[in-house]
Amino acid sequence: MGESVTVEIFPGEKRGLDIGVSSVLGTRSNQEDTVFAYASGKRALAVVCDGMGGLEGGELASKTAAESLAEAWFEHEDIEDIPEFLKKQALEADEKVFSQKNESGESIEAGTTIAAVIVRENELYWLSVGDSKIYIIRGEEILSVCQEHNYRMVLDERLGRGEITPEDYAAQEYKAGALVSYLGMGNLSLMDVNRRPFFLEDHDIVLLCSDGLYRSLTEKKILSLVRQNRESMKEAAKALTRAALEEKRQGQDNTSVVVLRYCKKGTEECE
Amino acid sequence: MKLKRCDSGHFYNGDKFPECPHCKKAKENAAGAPFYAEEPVTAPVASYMEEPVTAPIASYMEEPVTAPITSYVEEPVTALVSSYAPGAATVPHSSHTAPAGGNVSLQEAVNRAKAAPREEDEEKTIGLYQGKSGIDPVAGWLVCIEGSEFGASFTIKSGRNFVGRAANMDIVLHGDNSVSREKHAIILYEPKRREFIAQAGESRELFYLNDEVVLNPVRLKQYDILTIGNMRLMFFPCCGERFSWDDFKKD
Repeated sequence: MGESVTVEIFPGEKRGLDIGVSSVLGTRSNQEDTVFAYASGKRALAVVCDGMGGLEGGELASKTAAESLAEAWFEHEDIEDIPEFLKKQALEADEKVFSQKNESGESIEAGTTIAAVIVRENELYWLSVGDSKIYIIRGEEILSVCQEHNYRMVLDERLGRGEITPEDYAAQEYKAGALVSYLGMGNLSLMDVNRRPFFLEDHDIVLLCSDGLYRSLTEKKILSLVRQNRESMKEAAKALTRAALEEKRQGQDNTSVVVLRYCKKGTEECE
Repeated sequence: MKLKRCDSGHFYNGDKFPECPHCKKAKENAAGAPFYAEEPVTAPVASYMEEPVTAPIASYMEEPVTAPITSYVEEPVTALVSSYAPGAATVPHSSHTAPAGGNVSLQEAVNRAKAAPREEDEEKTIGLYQGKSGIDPVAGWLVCIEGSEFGASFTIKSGRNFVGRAANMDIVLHGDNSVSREKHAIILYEPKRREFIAQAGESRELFYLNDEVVLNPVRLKQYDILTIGNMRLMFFPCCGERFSWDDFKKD
C-alpha cells in the first residue's frame, strides 16, 4: 500500500511569503518527485523535481538536482544576477545527474525535470526544464509561464512551419509526451529562464507542480482550489494533491506541489 | 538566522533550536509514525514541521511504472537547438497557454519578464557567405575515425567553429563524456588566406593534433588527426588553393 509523504515547510517568518508544500505517492510504488521550499523574510526558493529512470534512478536524479540547486542557493548570500545563477545551476545539476552512479558504481541512466523559482523582494525568477509546471495566479487568472519541453513542442513547431502535415503530426503523436530536455541529458541547453524579473503584486500566488497535478486537474480546478484556500497555502497545497488523488484513482502519478503567496505588507496576517 | 543542517540532511534554524527539531520529532513519534519512511523525507526541510499529515491514497496499485529513458527522443534536440543562436541557453518563448480571464496584463507582464534577450541571444549573425540562399557553405569536414561517433562527418563553416558535447556547439560530439560540454576545441576557417586553423578551446581539457597538444593556434592540412576526448577526427578541407566559394560570388 502506498504511503503519502507530505512535506511541510514553515517559513522562518510569516511576513511576506506564505508557503505550502504537498507531495504524494499516487498509485506508484515509490516517490520520484523531490520538493524543496524555503522562505525567510523576502527571500525564497522553491523547487519541484520529477525524476524518471529505472529502479531508484528517478528518485536519485530528482534528489540530486533539487539538493544541488538548494545548496548553491544557500551558499550564495546575495546573488547579483539571478537568471545567470539559475542557468548555471541547471547546467551543473545536469552534469551531476548525468554522471551520477548507483551503489554498484554504474551510471544510473536517469533524468529529472526541474521547476524552480527564486523570490527576492517583489521580484520573481523562474527556471524550468522538462514538463513540470510553474503557474502564476493573480486574482482570478491563472497562467502557465513555461513551455513543456516535450516532443509535442517539436511537433507543434514543425506543423507551424509547414514542415509536416496534420496527418504526420497525428502519426507521431504517440510520442508527444517524451521529454526533449531534462537534467541528466549531459548536454542540456534548452531551458526556460526569465531574463528580467517578474514583478509580484500583492496577493500573487506562484504554483509549482509536477505533471501528476496538471494531468489530473484542469487549470480552472487548480485556480478554484487555490482561491478557496488562499488564507493558507499549506491548506491549498494539501487540497490540490488530495483533489488530484480523488480525480484519478487508477494510475495516478507522483504528484507534488509548492504554492507560494506574496504579501507586500509583510504583516502577521497575510490576507 | 543561523541555518544549520543535521546529519540526516534537514535544514533548521540554529539560533532557535539546539538540535534538529525534525529528528527530535521523529524520535518522539517513532511508534507507527507515517511521516518518515526509511530515511526522513526525500527533500531537505527548512525550519520546523507541523503534525504529520497524510492524504487519502488510492487503495490499490498498478504495477510499478517507470518511464524508460529510451523514450526520450534524442534526435529532436539537435533539430531544435539549431534554430537558436549559439550560446543561447534561454528560450524567450511566450507561454502557449491562454490566460483564463480576460485580463491581458498578466500575460503582458510575463512576456516582458521573458523578453529583453541579452546581446549574445540576439539575431543569429548571418555568415558572410549566407546571402540570399541562407546557407552557410561548407569549408571542410572532420570525420570520426575512432570513438563514439565513428563514421560520422562534421561540417566546418567559415569562421570559428566551437567543438563540444553541448547541443548548442557548432560541432557536437555526442556520447563521449570526456569531451567538454563547451568549447573543448575551436576549428576555424579563414577565407582570405583559405587557411584552416585549430585553436585551444576555453575548457580545462586539452586536445591534440597528430598526438601533439594544441596550445597555440596551428594550421591544419588534409589527413591531420585531432584527438578530442576519446575521439579521433580526421580533417578534410573543401576550400583551399584550388577552390573557394568566393569563385562563385557575384559582383
